Amino acid sequence: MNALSVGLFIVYLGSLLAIGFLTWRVSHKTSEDYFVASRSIGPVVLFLSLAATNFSAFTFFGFAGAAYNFGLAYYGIMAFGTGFMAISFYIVGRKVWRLGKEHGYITPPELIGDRMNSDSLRIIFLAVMVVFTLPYLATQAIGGGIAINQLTDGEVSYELGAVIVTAVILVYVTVGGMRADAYTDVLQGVLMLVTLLAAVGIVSAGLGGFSEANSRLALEFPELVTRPGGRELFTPQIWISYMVLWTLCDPMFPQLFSRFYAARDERSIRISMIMYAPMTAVMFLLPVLIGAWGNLEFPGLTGKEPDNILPMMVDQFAPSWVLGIMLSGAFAALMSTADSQLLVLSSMLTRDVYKKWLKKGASAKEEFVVGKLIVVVLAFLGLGLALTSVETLFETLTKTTFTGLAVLFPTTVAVLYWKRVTKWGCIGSILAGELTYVGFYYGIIPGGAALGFLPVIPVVAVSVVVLVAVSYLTAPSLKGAESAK
Amino acid sequence: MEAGGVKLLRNKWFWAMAFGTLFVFSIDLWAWDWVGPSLFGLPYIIVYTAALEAVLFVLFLLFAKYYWTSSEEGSG
Repeated sequence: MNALSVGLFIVYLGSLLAIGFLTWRVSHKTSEDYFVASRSIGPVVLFLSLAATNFSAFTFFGFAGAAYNFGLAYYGIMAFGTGFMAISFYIVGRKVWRLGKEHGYITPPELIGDRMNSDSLRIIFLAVMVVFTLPYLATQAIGGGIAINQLTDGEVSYELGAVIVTAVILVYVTVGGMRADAYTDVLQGVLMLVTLLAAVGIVSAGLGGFSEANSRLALEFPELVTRPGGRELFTPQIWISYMVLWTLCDPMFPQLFSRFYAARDERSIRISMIMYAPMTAVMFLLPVLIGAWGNLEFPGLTGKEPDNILPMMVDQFAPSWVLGIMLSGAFAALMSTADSQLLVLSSMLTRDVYKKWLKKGASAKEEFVVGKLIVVVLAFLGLGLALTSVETLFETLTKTTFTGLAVLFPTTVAVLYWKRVTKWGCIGSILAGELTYVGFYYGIIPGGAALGFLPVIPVVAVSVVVLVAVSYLTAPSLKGAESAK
Repeated sequence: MEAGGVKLLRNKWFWAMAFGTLFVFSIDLWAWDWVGPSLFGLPYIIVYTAALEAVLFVLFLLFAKYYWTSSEEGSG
């Protein structure tokens, strides 16, 4: 165990806790303040919070691993696809912010259900969001456990590592709510960027310089610098599928959706949109480069080994204490996602279950207390899932999260803009989309039916067709018509 | 900017076309297996994607300035 790297890591965790307590001092004891910071988050914090929440541990480890296997073209689908997704800040974010401010909405199902005047739709929307978010929360605890285990050369067990990460998140989210969540995201976003930039600098220097590393890659692994890429992954259909997937699924992550409510004004959302393209251009290039360069030093990795290529490359060329700092960047990525998931799950269970079904007359202060209690329960639940063997369920849900949430996009846009939409159209759209995806996932519908595209294309197509067809066959909802104005 | 240009930048169909065209350009089937031209040893796909991101940034900037205003959107 390197004392310097562990010491720096402790300083980092301490800073998160300090931010949590500082934000607590300016907080109010209401659910609106706890869950959406009284709609007060300005442009800089909102942008960094959206970015840090969007970039999870997968950005650090998964991107590098994928680039190791498939090559530099991975950058194209990830960076531009995610940058382009920011158009949804206008399409979805602007309307969500306006309606949230006007009607006091705090959760995504609350807005959808209320605008369509349908409790059934609200429950279905809530169920889809919870089912696809909870396993991801547990996955972040697993990532934290593994990273702490690596940081300490195995002296701290994976289980204890998961407990430490969960405990720190639990403290600052419970104490400071969305305000702590957003402000810690600023620290974490900056840490991610700085550590990735440093990693590229260190690794490229070790490989003989930036241009030399790229030239060697093109010479020794020519399939990794163009399409169709390693293992011929990038067909035009796959390329188009990923571009569509990010645009539709990212804004449907409840932790991103809820940030639109937290914005101080439309200007904050607008500036976040503008800055998203340069952010993705830089942030996504760095792990992809290191991952692809990994073939030069560690050729022939198989299975899950490439997912560790980023720390392996840094460890190859830098003193061990530098690796510790790099791992802090990975922690920043996973913690900034996990804290947001924890808070948004709590807000949905408080508003869409407790207040809606268990105690309709609950005061704002009561919601605030219940919300905190639910955060604690969810944190232990996520930790429990991380420490027990439910891998099959995990793998299924985490693999299906993106398409599972993309199914909600047609309904959301229709509720925000289309006067003719009905609750039955929305319910039919979500159920038909999810059932179609189940059909593809379990092979009930032959994979060939997707014509080479990822299932998200036919699944969303089915959702849209059912939404439109059923809406025209049923009577429109009054609130749905009002919301479209 | 002249009145005609501003009017164009306030038209929703202009923006639908601009973002739609950029999306089509991101699926550059005509250059599927290109390696060059390169920059700092980075191959075509990286340079092209970075260029797309730069165009996207400029489009977002103009969109925010001329179309997405806090009060009212542009004409249709």
